[in-house]
Amino acid sequence: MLEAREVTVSFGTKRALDGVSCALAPGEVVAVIGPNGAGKSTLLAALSGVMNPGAGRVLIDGDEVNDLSPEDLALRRAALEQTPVRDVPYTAETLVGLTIPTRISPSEAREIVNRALRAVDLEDIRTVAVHRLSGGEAHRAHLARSLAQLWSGQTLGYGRYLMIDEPTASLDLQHQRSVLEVVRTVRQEGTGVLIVLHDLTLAAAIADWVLLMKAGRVVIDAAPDDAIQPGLIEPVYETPIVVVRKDAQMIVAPDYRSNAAQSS
Amino acid sequence: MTATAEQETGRLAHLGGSRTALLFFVLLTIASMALIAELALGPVQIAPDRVLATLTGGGEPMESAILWQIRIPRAALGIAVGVSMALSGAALQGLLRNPLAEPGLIGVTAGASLGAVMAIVLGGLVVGLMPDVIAPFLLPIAAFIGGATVIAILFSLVRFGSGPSVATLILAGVAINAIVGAAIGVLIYISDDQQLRDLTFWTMGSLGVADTRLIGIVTVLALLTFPVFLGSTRALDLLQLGERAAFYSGLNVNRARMRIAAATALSVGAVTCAAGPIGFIGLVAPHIARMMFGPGHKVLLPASALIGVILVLAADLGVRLAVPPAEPPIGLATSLIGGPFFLWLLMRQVSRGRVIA
Repeated sequence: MLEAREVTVSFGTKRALDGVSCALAPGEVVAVIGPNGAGKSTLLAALSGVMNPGAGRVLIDGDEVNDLSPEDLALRRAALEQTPVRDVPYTAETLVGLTIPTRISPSEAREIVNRALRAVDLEDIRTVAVHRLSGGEAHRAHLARSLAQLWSGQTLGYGRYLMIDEPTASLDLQHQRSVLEVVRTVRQEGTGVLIVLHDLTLAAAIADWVLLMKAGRVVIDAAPDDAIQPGLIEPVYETPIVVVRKDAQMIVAPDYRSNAAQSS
Repeated sequence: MTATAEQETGRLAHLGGSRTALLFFVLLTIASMALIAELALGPVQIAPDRVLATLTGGGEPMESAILWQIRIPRAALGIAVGVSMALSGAALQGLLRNPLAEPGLIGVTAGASLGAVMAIVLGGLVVGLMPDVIAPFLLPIAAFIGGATVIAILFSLVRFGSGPSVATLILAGVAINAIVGAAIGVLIYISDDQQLRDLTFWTMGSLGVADTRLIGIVTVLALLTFPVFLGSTRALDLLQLGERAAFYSGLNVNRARMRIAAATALSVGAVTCAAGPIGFIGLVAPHIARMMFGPGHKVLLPASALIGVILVLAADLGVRLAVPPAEPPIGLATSLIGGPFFLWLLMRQVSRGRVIA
């Protein structure tokens, strides 16, 4: 279990996280949603150990995250930030293999790299330098790097948590879907996935559980069917929202009609 | 992945490996030739076979004296300068994710110089107060403190989150170089005649150091930092992903940064206090290495070190053989070649729109 207990993080006088508690179990997908500035990325940073919370605790399988060395932490969880560095001089396949610990044998490492590149559909351009790739391709290469790190951790008996921040923002529809497939695959393997999303349709499709955040707090903590309802999310996003259920899928979009704001 | 594609990858990796080995062999050969030339050529020519005979204990007294007292210390200092400046440059470029970071340009060499000049001019005031064991280390210690201070200032100036921009670094370097230049000016102003003569030549950079004990000390100090640099290759690779991603990938970012910074300050301080500021090696050598071997630091660092040695020894041979028996400072030669190289790199950066970024 990866859990936050009453975590508070402040930037100056602003509270980015205000007593947030949440939990991620292996084999489940938790989507973190909410408007800009709600504290979603800060929550991911606190859970991943990169940020020391001012108050509260973050535990990974019972161990305090900030007590673990970066090496140990990297075996237990993989994380991908919202805007990974584009200007990386390495080829896609070198990038993907970069974070595999040296304890993994070269043949195993190669196998993991191939699997990760295949998962994000980058095999054809594996030898192209990352800074020459398009924005979406570069983002997928970084996602593959996180997967490679996760699977390396699993090879060594860990690797049960994956945290990704807005992985679909720069992707076309086909590759948004491939990210969804990746998340489903790693969940099937027993990995817990925490995913920050703006796309509520995707969140509804992918998540076992939804955390809706606003102003540094978790305001709704529920299953997607219960959380994603216009009456609940409209006050949080402060905008009219349409939810359509069709063929066992929930489609969520802002209400773009010109008279929507008045009528809601 | 299909079997053929997999074989292809394997084959390419294998080819890449043998190409790397071949290029390394070529570099090693050139470096050895430069070293032999450094030992053999000069006002008194000593044929390579005589050099070898002298090194193995034979040889005539005069040749032996020239080699052991003049040319071998000079070559040792040259190698130390080449390796130190090249490794420091490559490591700083990796650490700051910035291809123009060079110990000289960003002011680290200047900081070390100021420390050394202070030790030369003001050292007489404190040397009597120190235990005899420490006295010979006064110069390297002062240079280390100077270099480390500048690195600390730079680290606090540049924001690490997004990677410092080229402009920030270069401007910080301009400011630091100006401040240090003025401070050295003040020290020169108050120095006596003998100190002045020492300083004038020293500030232009030279391998012609008479004090063999100093050469011994700085060479050993520089040697101590080489394993630190070569042990930081994975850290430097991961740092290319940015600080946060490097941490996510298992790197103790702060520790890596401190380790590389300390090694840089020590090695630049050590060679600068003996040879003076020798510019642009830390810029040119890693760039040539990157063109030959690509960006991976595991190969880039040792390759840069070899190229650094070749550049320094070649520049030293150049200045020694240009107008014998006069010997213009080597720092002039490296700056004459390195300056235009830097301008070329800068223009390339501008055309890619990366200077202001």
